[in-house]
Amino acid sequence: MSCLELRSLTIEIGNKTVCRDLSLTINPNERWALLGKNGVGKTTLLHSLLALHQPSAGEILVNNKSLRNTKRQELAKYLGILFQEGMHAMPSTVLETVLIGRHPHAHSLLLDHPRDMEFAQAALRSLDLEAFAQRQIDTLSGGEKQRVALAMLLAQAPTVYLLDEPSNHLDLAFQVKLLSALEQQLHQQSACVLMATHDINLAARFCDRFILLLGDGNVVFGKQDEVLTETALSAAYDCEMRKLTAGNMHLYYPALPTEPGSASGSQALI
Amino acid sequence: MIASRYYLLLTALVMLALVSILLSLLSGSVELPFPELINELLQPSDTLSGQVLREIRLPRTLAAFTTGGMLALAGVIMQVLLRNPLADPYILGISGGAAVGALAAILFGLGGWWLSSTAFVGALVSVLLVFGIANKFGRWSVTRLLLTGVVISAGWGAVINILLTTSSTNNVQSMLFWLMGDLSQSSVGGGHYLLLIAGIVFGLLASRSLNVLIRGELVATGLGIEINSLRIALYFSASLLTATAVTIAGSVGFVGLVVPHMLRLLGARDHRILIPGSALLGGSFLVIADSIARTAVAPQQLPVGVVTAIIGVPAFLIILRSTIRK
Repeated sequence: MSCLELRSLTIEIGNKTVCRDLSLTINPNERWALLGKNGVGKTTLLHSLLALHQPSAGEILVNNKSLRNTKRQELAKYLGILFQEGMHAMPSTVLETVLIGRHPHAHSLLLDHPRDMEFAQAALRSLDLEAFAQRQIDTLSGGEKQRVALAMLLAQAPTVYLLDEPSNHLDLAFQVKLLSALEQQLHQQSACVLMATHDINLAARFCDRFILLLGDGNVVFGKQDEVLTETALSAAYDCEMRKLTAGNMHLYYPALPTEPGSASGSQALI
Repeated sequence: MIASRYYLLLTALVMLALVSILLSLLSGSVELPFPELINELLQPSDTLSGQVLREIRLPRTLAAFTTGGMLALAGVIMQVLLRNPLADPYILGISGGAAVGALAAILFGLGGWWLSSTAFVGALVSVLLVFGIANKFGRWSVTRLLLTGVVISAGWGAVINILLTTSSTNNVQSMLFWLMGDLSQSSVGGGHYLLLIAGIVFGLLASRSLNVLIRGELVATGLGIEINSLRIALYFSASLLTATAVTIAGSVGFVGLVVPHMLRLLGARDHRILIPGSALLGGSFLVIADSIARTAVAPQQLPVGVVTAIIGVPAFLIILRSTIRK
């Protein structure tokens, strides 16, 4: 039983091809990272999985069912997404906002179920937001708002977590906190994660599968040692990338033009 | 989340509605003390005060309540639809279309049924025009809807000015009263009550979705809401409520904009409360405003739309100031 399956998927936006003929399967308990340079189409790919963007060819299966035949409300019970942009127009408290995440699971038209409150409280706890429950959203800092948005997603408790730049505005401690909160959900409910991020090192620490969008419609995907190579990363990011290995940990970083051994650097020396 | 303090707020609003209606029935040039009022309501008699009550005050009070309720309800819906706190029922040009219809009827010396019908038709023309243009390319964005509405509204404004400047002094007086909102010619019937109740029921059915939609279209879609069909339903329900309200009483301003905000400032942000709450507060608000409009400078009458602003502005500012410190 797979969570998410792409079959010969081609996604285009404008005159740009995000991916061509891409087939892959995401299984329960897997943690996938979606990597690629700015504007390559990471968000578009995530939106396609939510039927917010129509693929030009191929098929998407969510919970073994074609996305086209899935009702939006059914989809929201199974698949949740953290969007990149903010969402707060009217005044609202943190707790009210997190409770909104329970919308797909509402049982009664007007009354709340106590379980919704339990989910919301647990989500607040796991991101250290309990003290903020009654605070107004517009008094929060950028990082705190991002944690509220994440708590809302945790309260939704989907099986597939799509995250668009989850570490935006988050300091290191909360990046770790977020990842361990997700980890817990994965264990408890055999969920899976697909996160678009520009932070290769965060992805490498947390994820076990990687999708690298190269920008010309070609895609590399697989395990860390297959995808996160200096060659593939350099091609994907248009910039000379290096890999530093210490024990079983790898650190990825861009070479500066002036560093010896870098292609552009040696040109500069000549 | 529906907590006990929300029930308290709703109960208070129901009480306010009852009190405002009673006060409205008690006020006027013909003396009608409270015990007699109750008597008349229970056992109608043929006395002068009985006739005044049944034929003048009661219909007018009910018209005010219904109109106010519709406008406030339409205001809440428009504010969610456009995700704009400055939205009011008239922002998309409905009142402009209705005004052109009504003014044209006055220009040709038509009143009563004709005036309401032309106003209603004008409102519907505007509703369909805005929808047709904003919707032309399949997907309608909130920005496109808002811009289309505002521009169409400006167009109606020009036509209104032409009608005003070219009409005789006599007609201009009636036209101005209509434009400012006036309940002296108003009456409502079963259809109107039914529409108000249907509006509240629709709003309650949609209230959970409204709570989500107000946080943005992407968020709402991600949480399982088909936003296109929801938005179309919101647009047409708010439009129908507004068109009907405008047909009853002309363009009474301020109620649709301010009543929802008053409730939000009082803490009712959940639409499960805000929807019925707005209908109640909007109705009470217009009943009180109309009582003042017809008694303040009696025997002269003020257009009720002027009074809504005169009492609404300070009331709103007081609530705003008292909640801003929190």
